[in-house]
Amino acid sequence: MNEPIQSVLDGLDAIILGKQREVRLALASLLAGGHLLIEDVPGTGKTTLALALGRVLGLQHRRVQFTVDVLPSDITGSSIYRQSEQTFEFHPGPVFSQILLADEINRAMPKTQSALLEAMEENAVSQDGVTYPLPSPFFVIATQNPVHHSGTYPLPESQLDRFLMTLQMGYPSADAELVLLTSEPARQKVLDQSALSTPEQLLGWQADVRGVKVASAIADYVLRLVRRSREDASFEMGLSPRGGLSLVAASRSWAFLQGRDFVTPEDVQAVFAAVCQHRLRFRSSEDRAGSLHSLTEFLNHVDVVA
Amino acid sequence: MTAQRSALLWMLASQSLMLAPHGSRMPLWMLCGCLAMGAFTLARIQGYVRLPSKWVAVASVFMGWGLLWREYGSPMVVEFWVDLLLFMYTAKLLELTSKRDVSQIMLLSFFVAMTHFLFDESMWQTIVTFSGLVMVMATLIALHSSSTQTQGRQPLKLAGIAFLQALPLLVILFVFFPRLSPFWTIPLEKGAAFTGLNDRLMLGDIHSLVQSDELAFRVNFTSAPPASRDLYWRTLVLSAVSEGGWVVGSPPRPTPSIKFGAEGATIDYELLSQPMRVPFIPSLDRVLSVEGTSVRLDPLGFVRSASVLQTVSQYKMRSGLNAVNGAELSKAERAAYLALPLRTNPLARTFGASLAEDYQTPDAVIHTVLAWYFDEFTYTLNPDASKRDSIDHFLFETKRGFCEHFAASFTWVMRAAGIPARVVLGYQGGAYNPSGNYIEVRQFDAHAWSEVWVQGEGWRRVDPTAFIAPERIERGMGASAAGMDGLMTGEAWDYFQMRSLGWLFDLQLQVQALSHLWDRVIVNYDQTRQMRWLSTVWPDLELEDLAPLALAAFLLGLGVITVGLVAPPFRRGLSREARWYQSYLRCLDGITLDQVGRGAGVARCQEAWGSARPAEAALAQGFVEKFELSLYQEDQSVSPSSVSKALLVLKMRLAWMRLTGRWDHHSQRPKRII
Repeated sequence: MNEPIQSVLDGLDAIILGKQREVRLALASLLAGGHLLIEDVPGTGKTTLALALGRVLGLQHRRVQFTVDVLPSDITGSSIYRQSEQTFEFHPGPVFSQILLADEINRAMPKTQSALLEAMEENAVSQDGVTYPLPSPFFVIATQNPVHHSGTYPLPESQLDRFLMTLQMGYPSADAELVLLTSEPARQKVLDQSALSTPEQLLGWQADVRGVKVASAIADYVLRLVRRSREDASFEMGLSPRGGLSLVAASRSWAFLQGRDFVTPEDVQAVFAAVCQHRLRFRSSEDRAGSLHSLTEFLNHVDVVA
Repeated sequence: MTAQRSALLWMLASQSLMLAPHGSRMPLWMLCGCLAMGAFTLARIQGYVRLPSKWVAVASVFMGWGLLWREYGSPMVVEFWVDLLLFMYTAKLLELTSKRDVSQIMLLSFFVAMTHFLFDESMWQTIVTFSGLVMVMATLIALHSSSTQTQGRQPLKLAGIAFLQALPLLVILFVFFPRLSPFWTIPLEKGAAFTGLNDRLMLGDIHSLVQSDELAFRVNFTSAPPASRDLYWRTLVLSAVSEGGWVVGSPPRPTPSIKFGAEGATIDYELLSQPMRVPFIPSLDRVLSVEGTSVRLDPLGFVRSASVLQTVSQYKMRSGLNAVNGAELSKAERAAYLALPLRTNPLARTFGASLAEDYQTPDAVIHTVLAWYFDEFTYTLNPDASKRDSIDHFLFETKRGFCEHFAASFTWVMRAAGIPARVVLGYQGGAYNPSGNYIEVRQFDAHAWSEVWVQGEGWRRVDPTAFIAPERIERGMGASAAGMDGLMTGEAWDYFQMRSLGWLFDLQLQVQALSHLWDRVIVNYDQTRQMRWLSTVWPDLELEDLAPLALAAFLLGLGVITVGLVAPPFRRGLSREARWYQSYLRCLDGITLDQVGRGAGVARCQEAWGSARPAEAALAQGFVEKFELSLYQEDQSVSPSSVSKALLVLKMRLAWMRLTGRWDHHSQRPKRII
C-alpha cells in the first residue's frame, strides 16, 4: 500500500480508537467518491470521525447542525440584495465546502433534507436560474440518530439511496474505552491533527480506485447478489441497479485500501453490509419467520464461485 | 463419550444382524446366551452394570466350550466349528474395554459373514449378509470419527456409499476370480434338514413329504414344456421288498443288448436341483443323456450323482418322452423283478396268483386291477394308519390311499401275478412360472408309480393314481388339493391358499423367478461356466490366465476408484472455476467451513483453515494464489492447467500429510471407552 494512504489511516486510528473497520469503511466511501451516512445513538464518535476525516485529508470542511427550523437556504446559501450595486448577490451556504458534516440530518424537516440531497446529487446549487458548481472533491458526511428517536423525520428510501454507505459506530471495546477515558479529549486531538494529504492527492487516489480491476468473476458475483436480493422473500425490495454499481465502487476502494489492484469476493463481502443495509429493508418480523435474519446470512446463501 | 456410545450401539446392531441368520440353527442355549450377552452389553452402555471380573468371563467361555462339545460330540462337523466361532464372537463382549476390542469384533464379523453361506446361498441370505456388512462398516466409521460426524444415520449413509462404490470391484472379482475348490472339507452334520425323497418307500413316507412346500428343483426347457400329465420326474427305482417296504435293492444289470432307443421327439432342458437326501437326480422320464459334474446315467435309466447333493447344482439333460427300451429281460432280472417275501401280505399274493390264472395276457391283468381300483378305491391324502401287513390292509380293508399305496400295492399284485414290476419314486407335474419360463417342482409334487415289464414292449409306465384321481396328474397337486378341502395341512396348504390370491401369487412368481435366476447365474457360476463365459469374449483363454486376469481387472478397478478420488469430480453445469472451488472446499474436510459459512470465498476459507490447522493450510497457499490470480486478476500468464496442477499437488500432499498424521494418531495407546 502506498505510504500516504497508510499514514492517513494511522492518523485516523490514533483519533478514533478501536474502530479500524469503521474508519476504513468511511475512507473507502470517500475514495469511491460516495457520501457517507453514520447512524448511531449520540456520543459514539460520529461527529469526531467526520471531523477527523476532514482534518486528516486536509480538506476544507464545514459543519451544519440540523434542527427542525433549519431552512433550505441555510444550507445552500441565499441571494442577498445589495443596495449599493442594486443587484442580488449570492452568498454561498455551508454546502460550498469539500466536506460537509451534516449532523443529525433526520432532525431537519423534509424540505431542508431534500435541498441538501439535491445538491449532493447534482454536485451543484441552482439559485435564481444560476448554477453554482460545488467544489471538488465534495463529500457529505451525514449523521443521524436511530429513527425511533423522538423528533426525527426519517429520510425516505429514494434519498437514502444517494448515500454510498451507512455506518454504525457502535460502542468502543473495553480496552479502547479505557484509553478514551484517560487520554486527552478526541476533539482536541482532531484540532491538533495536521493534514496528512492534499485534495490533489485524494483526487489522484480516486482515479486509482476507478482503475482497480473488477474481473468478470466478480461482476458475476455482484450480479448474483443483486438478483438474489430481488428474488428473496426476506426483503421488501431488492437492490436497485444503482445499488449494484455502488457495491462495485465500494468494493474497488476497499480493495485499494487493502493494497490490491483487483477486487476479490472478500472485498465485496466486506463492504456489502455497509453499502446495502440502507437499501434493503427486511420484511416485518412476523412474516419473516424462517427467512434470513441478517445480511451476513444472506451472503451465505449466494455462491461465491459459480 | 456420545460418539463412542453411538459406535457401541452400532456395534451391537451389526453383531445381531450377523448372528441372526444362524439364530434358527444354533442350539437354544447358545441363542439365549447370545441374547443375554447383548442385553448385558446394552445395559453396560447405558451405565446400569459394570464389567464382571475376568474369572466370570473365563468361566463362561469354558462352560460354553463344554456345552458345545456336549452338543456335537465331534470336531468333524462344520456346525461345531461355526458355533464355536459364533460363541467366541459373542463372548468377546465380556472383555470389551477399548476401541481396539470393538475393531476386533467388527473385523471378525467379516469372517462370520462367510459362514452364512455354508448353510444358505440364496438371494435372501445374500441380501441379509450384505446389509449386515454395511452395518459393520457403519460401526467402523462411527468408531473412527469425531462426535460431530456420527450424528444419527450419518455413518450408515457413508457406509452405504462406500458399499455401492465397492460394487464394481465385487462384480470384477466375481467374474474373473479363479474358482478354487476348497483345500479341505468338513461334512455338514448327518441328517441335515433337507427334505426330499428317501431311498426306500414305507407307506406314509410320501404323505409326510406332501405336507412340505419346500422347493425340490426347477427346470428350464429350451422349447415349450410338456403338459403336466407327461411330467414324470423319475428319480429312483425301487426293485426289492424289505421289511414291508420297497427299497432300491441291487437289481442285476440289464444285459448289454438292452438299450434305450430314442423314437419320436426328444426334449432338452436344464435342471437346477436343490440339495437332496439321496444321491439321485430327478430326470424327465425317460432320460437319454445328462451333462454335469460327477453324475452318470444309471443303466436302469435314472441319473445318479457321485455323492449326496449338498448345494444347488445344475444339470443339462435330454429326454425322449416316447422312448422305449429293448425287449429282452435276462433270467436274473426276471427273477429279481418277480421276487416277493413269503410271509407278508398273503392275501395280496393269493389275489395276484388268481389273476394270473383268470387272465392270459399281462395287459388284461393290468386292466383288471386298474378297473378294480377305479371302482372301489378312494384317493385321499388322509389314509388310515397302516398296520403290519399294510398292503393287505389297504387292498382289502380300507381301500383308501394315496399314490404310494397304489404304486406299492399295484407292483406287489403284479409280481404276484407273475408280471415283472418295480416301483418308481419321483415327482409328478410342477408349476409353470411364466415370469421365468421354467417349471418349478416342490416337495408336495412327490409321487410314486409303477413300471411293469410287457414282453415285446419293454418297461411300461403304469400310474394307478392316474386312474383313481386323474386331476392329480392332469393339473397337478394344487388341483386335487383344492378338491379335497382341508385334507392337506401345514406349509403346503398355506402355499395353495396363497396361490388363490391373484396379485400376491403373481408377485410370488416374480420373486421365485428372480430367486431361480440367482441360483442359476450366481450360485452356479463355477469354473466350467466361468471359462465358458469368458471364452465367448476371449476365445483362447487358458485356466492359468485367470489369476493374472483377475488381478489386472482388480488393479484396474482400484485405479479407477483412485482416479475418482483424486481427480476433480465430473459435474454437469459447473464451471471450471466452480469445480476448482468445490474441490478446494472438500480439502478443508468440512471443519473450517462450519466456521465461515457457505458464502466464504477462498481467501476467507484459507484464513479459517490457517487458524484451525496451520500446517495443512500452508500446503494450500500455492493453489490459493494461483486461483486468485487466474480468477480475480484475470492474469493471462496463469493458465487454467497450472491452477489444476496446483490443486492436484495440494490434494496429494494433503492426503500424504493426513495419512501420516493418522498413523501417528493410531499408534497411541488405546483408550478405555466405557
